[in-house]
Amino acid sequence: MPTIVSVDDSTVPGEGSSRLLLLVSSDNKHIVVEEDIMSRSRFISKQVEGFEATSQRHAILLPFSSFVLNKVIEYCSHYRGYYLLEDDPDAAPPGRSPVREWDQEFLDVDRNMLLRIIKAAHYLEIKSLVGSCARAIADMIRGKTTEEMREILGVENDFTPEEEHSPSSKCTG
Amino acid sequence: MVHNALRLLPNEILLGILEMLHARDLLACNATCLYLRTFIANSVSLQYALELFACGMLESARRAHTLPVTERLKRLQLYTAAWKKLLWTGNVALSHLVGYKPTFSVSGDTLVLLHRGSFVTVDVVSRLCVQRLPSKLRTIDEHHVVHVVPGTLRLSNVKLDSAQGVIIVGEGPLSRPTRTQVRLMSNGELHPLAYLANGGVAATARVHDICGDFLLEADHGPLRQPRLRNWKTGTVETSGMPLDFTSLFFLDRRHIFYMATSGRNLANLAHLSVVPLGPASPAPSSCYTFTLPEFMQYSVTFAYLRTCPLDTEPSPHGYFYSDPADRLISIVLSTMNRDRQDHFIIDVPACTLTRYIAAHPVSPGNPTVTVPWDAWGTDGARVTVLPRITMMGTISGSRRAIVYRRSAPNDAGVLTVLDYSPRRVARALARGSATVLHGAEVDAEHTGSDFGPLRTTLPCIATETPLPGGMAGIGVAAWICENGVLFAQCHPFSGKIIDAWAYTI
Repeated sequence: MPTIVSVDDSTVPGEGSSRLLLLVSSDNKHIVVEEDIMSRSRFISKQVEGFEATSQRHAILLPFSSFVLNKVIEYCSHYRGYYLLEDDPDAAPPGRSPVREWDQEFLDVDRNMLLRIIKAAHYLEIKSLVGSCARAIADMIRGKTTEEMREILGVENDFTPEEEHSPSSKCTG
Repeated sequence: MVHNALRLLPNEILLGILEMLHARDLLACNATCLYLRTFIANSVSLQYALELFACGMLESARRAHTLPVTERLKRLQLYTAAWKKLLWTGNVALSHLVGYKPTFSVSGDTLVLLHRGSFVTVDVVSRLCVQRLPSKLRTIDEHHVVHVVPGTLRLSNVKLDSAQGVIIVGEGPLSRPTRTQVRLMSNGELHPLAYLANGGVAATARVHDICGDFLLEADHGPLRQPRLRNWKTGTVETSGMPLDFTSLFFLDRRHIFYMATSGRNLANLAHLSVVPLGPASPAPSSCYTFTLPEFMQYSVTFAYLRTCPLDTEPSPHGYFYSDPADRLISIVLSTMNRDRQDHFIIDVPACTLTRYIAAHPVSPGNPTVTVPWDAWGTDGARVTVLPRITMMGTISGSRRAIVYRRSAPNDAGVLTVLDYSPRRVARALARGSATVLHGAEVDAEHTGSDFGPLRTTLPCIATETPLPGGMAGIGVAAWICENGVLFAQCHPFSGKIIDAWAYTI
């Protein structure tokens, strides 16, 4: 467990007007990032609001590894200053998130990494990233056969033979 | 215990991913693992998506996931309402067809009618008519193709699987085809009939049913061992197949069901049997025997089974995928008690049988299970007496159509559509809809005084549509499919189809 360090404004010189945040990943890596970048995350914004209310700033502990965290920070810094409709807490949720080409390249990673990123994005409440990851996973399994899906998703066939061939499990409802 | 990565995802994320998929992919997901199947079964939004797909109401993959739950429910209600108030469509281009009750096969929104050429009617040319009914709700246009069979060959038997775009036709005398052809029809356009040279089907066998790549065929004669054949590769599988059947169908991929009726041989009374297929069967010659109501068992003089094709592979054209849970099995039989003859319809949703089989697996020690009527039929089937002047009508998916004439003074023809779909019935019951019939009763007059009245409690949704004037009584043939009902007025003497109309959704 990393100890909770208190970050004083004066000890960390801010770049421009943006202040810095100290994020601590589950593998105990300390990552300093500008508050401006991470404002896309509702979770971080709420924390920052808390800091301002209590005027106490401390490190934010996150339950995922620095590898994943760096990936999320890369995403956030790419979209620094951009307005994305999904991330606007006041806007109505769009029916369908737009396809962004950069995201597709950015999320061209293996399945496990993708699952980790989507969980991190969910924890940090970055809706645009959750949407893009969900789309990437959906794209991976779209049009595949059951066998291929099992391989892609890394799940095992745990049906009994009767269950597997039963025509449907949804007779009621 | 294998690590299942999906279990670690929060539910709303998994739902978000699955909502982006087309219903076809959801069906594949449904078969991957227990976790996903339970997840899909418990999600209202995904269930609606699957049901819309089964109704043929989910038109494109791109738009599929944009629909919110309320919109999906609205579309389902539109679909249900359309079946309550069928639209009268003008003439359907169904001509050239002779034969009062032509052999037919229905699958999805397409039906195939066979005209057998004969020297009696001086029309020696055999024709295969592929007809798709139009639908306003689904924006499907009418298609109509007549394929003339060269020479004087007679068409005898037809099976259609519109999910795969396959028609299997036997050519030759009715009882004994001399050639069986597999024809491919391009479903989207209904361009007909590229031959798949015999498709690995034995030339002289009659094809009883088709399910995916497999078909059930049997030779003729007393020792007609049925065979399971992969028609794409021609490989044959035979194990635990019954010999004493009158008709034979697939229940699902791993079970076949058949009916045996023999008044003469006391060992073979009228009953419905289900046989597990292949290696999944735990014991050789294992079999479930579902007995019919007691008063029928010894008095059946004539019976046949009918069921809708089991489309296990969703259509690549995306029009129809019939949900296996929404499948109806229909037994039409006549009984002779003392001096009177009665005609009955027994409607059994296929899930009645599958549910019973799943709950009572056979063991090697006890390979044959006899299920008395009370254990399966009273709550899981519906027995009705056919009124005198009735055109039996056909079944499609979970629906049965019956055309009959109201008694005087009205004397008008009525089309009744009964829907047995468990989910639609449950929804109608929950909403308190007045159209749900709670079972049926056959009075003692028909069952015979020894047995008393017979009551069945299976609920179904009934809708009645009056036929336009003049279309009643003799000579009306009706076929139901997923888009509506097709009627044909036949000539009272020659049986030639004079004109055809349709009620569609």
